[in-house]
Amino acid sequence: METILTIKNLTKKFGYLTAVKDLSFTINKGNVYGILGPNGSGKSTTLGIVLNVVNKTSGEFSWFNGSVSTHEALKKVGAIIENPNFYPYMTAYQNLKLVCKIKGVDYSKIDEKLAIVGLLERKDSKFSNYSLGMKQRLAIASALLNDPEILILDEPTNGLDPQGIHQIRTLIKKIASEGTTILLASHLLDEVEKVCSHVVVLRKGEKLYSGRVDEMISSHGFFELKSEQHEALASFLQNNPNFLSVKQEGELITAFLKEPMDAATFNKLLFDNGITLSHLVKRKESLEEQFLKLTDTI
Amino acid sequence: MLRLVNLELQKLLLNRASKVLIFISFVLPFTVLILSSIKINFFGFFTLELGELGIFNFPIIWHITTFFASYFKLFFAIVVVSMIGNEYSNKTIKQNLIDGLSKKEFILSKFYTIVFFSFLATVLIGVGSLFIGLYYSSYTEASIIFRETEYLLAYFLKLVGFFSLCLFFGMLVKRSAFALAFLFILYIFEWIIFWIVAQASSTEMAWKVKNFLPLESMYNLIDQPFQRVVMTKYPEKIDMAYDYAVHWYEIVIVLAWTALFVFLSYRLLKKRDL
Repeated sequence: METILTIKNLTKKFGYLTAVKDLSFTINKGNVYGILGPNGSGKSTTLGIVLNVVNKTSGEFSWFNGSVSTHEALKKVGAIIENPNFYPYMTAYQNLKLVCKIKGVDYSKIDEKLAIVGLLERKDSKFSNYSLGMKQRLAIASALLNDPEILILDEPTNGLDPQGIHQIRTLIKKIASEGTTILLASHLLDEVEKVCSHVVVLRKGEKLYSGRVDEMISSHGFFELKSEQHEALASFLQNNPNFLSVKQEGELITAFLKEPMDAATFNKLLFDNGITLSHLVKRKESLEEQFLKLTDTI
Repeated sequence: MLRLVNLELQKLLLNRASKVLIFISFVLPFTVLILSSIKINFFGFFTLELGELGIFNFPIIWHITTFFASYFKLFFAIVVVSMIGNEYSNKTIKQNLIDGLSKKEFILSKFYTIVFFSFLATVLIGVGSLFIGLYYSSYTEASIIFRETEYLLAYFLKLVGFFSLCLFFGMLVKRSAFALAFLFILYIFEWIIFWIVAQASSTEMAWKVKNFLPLESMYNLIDQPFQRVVMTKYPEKIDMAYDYAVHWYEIVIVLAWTALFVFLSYRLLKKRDL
């Protein structure tokens, strides 16, 4: 698999504060990566370092196996970090023209990309007159100008209204479905869960997990159960080797599976044992629960 | 190189404020030059014609026009500091780097633009002076016309040096207004050094030291022409004689400062986390 970005033992210190600590991971072509972490966990700093705007303290990173210098590599990368930064006195078209000049891209791409983000009709409006949602979409258009090998997005939905968030997400999914590698930094878990195939979890600059999203949610799920025969159900579950643990909260019993079992089989098993259920739900732990477990500071 | 200048020109020329300032810094000295060269009739009382004073004679005209035109560099200095200040306040410097401009290219695009505009200003003043000179001057032999054109070179270097200083201050403080204030502080600072050295040793020594400081060294490139004008009128007053030529060591000092300012701007950007 083609490697796009390799980060090795990267460390960044701001004075006595260590923002990124000995971080290593690899980004391969074709996947959608999420960098997860609470605020201040070093997501933006890490991206800043690989994007040439923050100086590393130690460690290494290399783009495209180190075949080109960082600023040359960035011409093949599309990135937006935090807020969209453009010249307020220029129109959308003029701003993108400037980006074309920097990246060495043909101007014909401008209209094409503006159409993708739905800003073609407003291309001659000044950037300062845009709403935040439009600014963010313009930033995405700008990042797409060079048909990048990888698209880096840092909190792309930050500060947007629900409609704006929806628009941006649809856009990201569309871009991902076309095979562009994406690196998405976010603290919004459902965002990452919905779009990403791989995830890197950071806390206080340290890597807690890196791998596939579905492997992170590795458990086989759990049943939420209610029954008239509460006691019988509880003792049956406790004596059954298929279950890891059983939790009781009032009427509700939660049973965590040790190995896979579907709800129908389980229901039949209980019925055969003379227990009838009044409530049965099978659930998987969400990324959010996994994430909170991982980043739990207590 | 053309790509970098082109980049910066787009940033400047689409901005109304800098467009106006650039226009002023080029047109104003030119207008003043033209106005001063025409005959002005004060309601029939008397006519003022500066040309009569002989200041538009070759070769002294090169000295006069470049000396006065260099005062208008302040308008373009505002453009230079604001072209850095704006990049910081709009955070577009960050975006430029992310888009694939290297830090070196960023500084170079500013510096090349400075050189470009300084060159343009020099050409304008050169051509303007040449025509006015040809109109007024009593001497029109090529050897006299092109004598002392080193003032044009001095003018060019003075502009490049001064704007590089502005570039450095802009990078240092990131805000246009503060950068301009720094220019003023530097001016005072140079006089403080002068005063300290004068106290410690002699005034002569103090001048020698001050001649090496950035603002004074740039000013020294083109000495004031007033004494020279008076001298041409009263050649018998030998005690007024002074050294007004452009010297190689003056050029070297300014070039050294220019190189240092551009280099320091780069170092500053390189070390900085944006």
